[in-house]
Amino acid sequence: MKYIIKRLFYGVITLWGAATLVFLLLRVVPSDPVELILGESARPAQIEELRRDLGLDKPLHVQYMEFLKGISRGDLGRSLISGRRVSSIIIAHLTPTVNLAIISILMTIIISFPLGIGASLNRKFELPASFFSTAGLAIPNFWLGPLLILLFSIKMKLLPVSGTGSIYHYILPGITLSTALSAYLTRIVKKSVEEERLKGYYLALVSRGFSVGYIYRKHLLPNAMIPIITILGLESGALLTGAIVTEKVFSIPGIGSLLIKSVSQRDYPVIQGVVLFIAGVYVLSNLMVDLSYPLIDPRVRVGGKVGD
Amino acid sequence: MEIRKTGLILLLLPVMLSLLFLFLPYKYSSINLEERLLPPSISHPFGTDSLGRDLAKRTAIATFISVSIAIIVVLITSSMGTLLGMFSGYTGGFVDELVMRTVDLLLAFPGFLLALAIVALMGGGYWNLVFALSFTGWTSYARLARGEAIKLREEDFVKSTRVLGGSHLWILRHHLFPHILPLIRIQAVLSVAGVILAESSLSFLGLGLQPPTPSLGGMIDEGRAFLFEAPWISVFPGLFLFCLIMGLLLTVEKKNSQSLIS
Repeated sequence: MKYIIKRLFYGVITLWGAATLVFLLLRVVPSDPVELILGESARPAQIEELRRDLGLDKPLHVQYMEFLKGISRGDLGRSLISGRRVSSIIIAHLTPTVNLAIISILMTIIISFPLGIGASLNRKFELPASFFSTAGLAIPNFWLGPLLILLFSIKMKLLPVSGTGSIYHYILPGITLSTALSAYLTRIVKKSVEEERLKGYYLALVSRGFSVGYIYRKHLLPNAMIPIITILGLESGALLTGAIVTEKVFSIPGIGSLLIKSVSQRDYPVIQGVVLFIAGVYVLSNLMVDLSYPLIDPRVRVGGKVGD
Repeated sequence: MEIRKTGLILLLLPVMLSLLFLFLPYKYSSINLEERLLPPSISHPFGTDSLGRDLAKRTAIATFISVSIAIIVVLITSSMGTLLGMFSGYTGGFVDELVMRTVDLLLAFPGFLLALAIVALMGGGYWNLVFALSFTGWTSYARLARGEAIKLREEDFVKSTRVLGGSHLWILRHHLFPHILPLIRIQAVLSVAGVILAESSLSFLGLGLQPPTPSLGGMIDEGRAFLFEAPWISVFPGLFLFCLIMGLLLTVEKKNSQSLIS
């Protein structure tokens, strides 16, 4: 219980830190958002009015307090273009991004677990696994996406080029977004399993005649899971960042497309809201990883340290 | 050893080809609509784009721009991070607390998102990209150097140097730095790969280098509209990127290559 409260407290602190960073970023940047929005020909009165609308005429500390108050109520301001609430705009763009993220995480697990565990069991898998775990990181997703479209949509006419109509629409984006993460996780799975194999209990169980399959299922994999789940959780939060590029490649109307669109429209409240949202998801997924330790590792529950 | 050699060859391939392509008799920005969307041939090794510009020349220039941004960013971040980390780990106390809390704050944010937010607000272009990508890049060096400095601080050879009258500066320069350098070097190679990837992602999104300056990411984006009729527009710049990054990763393989995504 103490552990959970401590983690929650840290989570709130980091969220606050991320929000402060976004706040400072928007105000420290040398370009004046008001002038950028209105252009060079704006009249001083117009500039004053917009400045007041955005709340930029108040002293910095007042702005900061109002900003934090707004966030704690889930109020991210209103769009400069449409006048709608930023929070409801984000919610409207959420579904495709969530679908994409879920499919990518599933694909990552399906690819990296067998490959990583296989590579630790059989030397034959080692070369393909290590090739994949480097090449997957090296291939830029904004290049992989168009290549997949070229191959599967244009040449073979198997899958749709873009859009979000059905599950088939998510296959190519899923591959595009998950390749780097799969490559990374394959490495972690392999390393983690191999480290467990070096421990005394593995040799003890083998010498007592238990089958390798049994030891893996009952003893080795549950132990090896801890670093794997850590990385998977941390990187799932970062997946939203990768989704920005993937959504552009496949014209998926999600959070990432919203961010790029609002950047080109100089819609600052929306940019700020989306950046905060993605950062918030990232912090929360880190928190979830921390909170899940007691469930997967009994040692944490009694107050020990992970990895003792 | 084999793997590293392969890496070096992969890395040198796009660099050498780019050097060669610089001698092509075209200007990277000269538009020639009569020669638009030409497939690769001897006079245009990578074909031409929708405005009839020679893609080999553009790819070559984009490669040098990308690599130069990455090298500048890594020079800035590695020296800044190493100095800060070494110093804060060695002295400890308040300075250490301050540096590490800053690092924690920056790491609470996905690095690419922060860089994206910076160029989105400041605008793209060469030096804005350098700034945006350097903003969080130093944190990994700071953590690395600090960890090592804390370990080394307690070593006997450091303590005996103190007893013999060696100054702190001497210890930092002659005992800590040489020990930390190999780790920093690996991290630096990985960061060059990471920065190339991040810069071209931003350029792909239209937030990085602005046209007519060629960028590998931007060219891949331009080619997407012509995937059916002229796939070479996207394919070749991407291939260069892949070779560069794969080559860099392989040259440090077997030591450590996990921190590319950050």
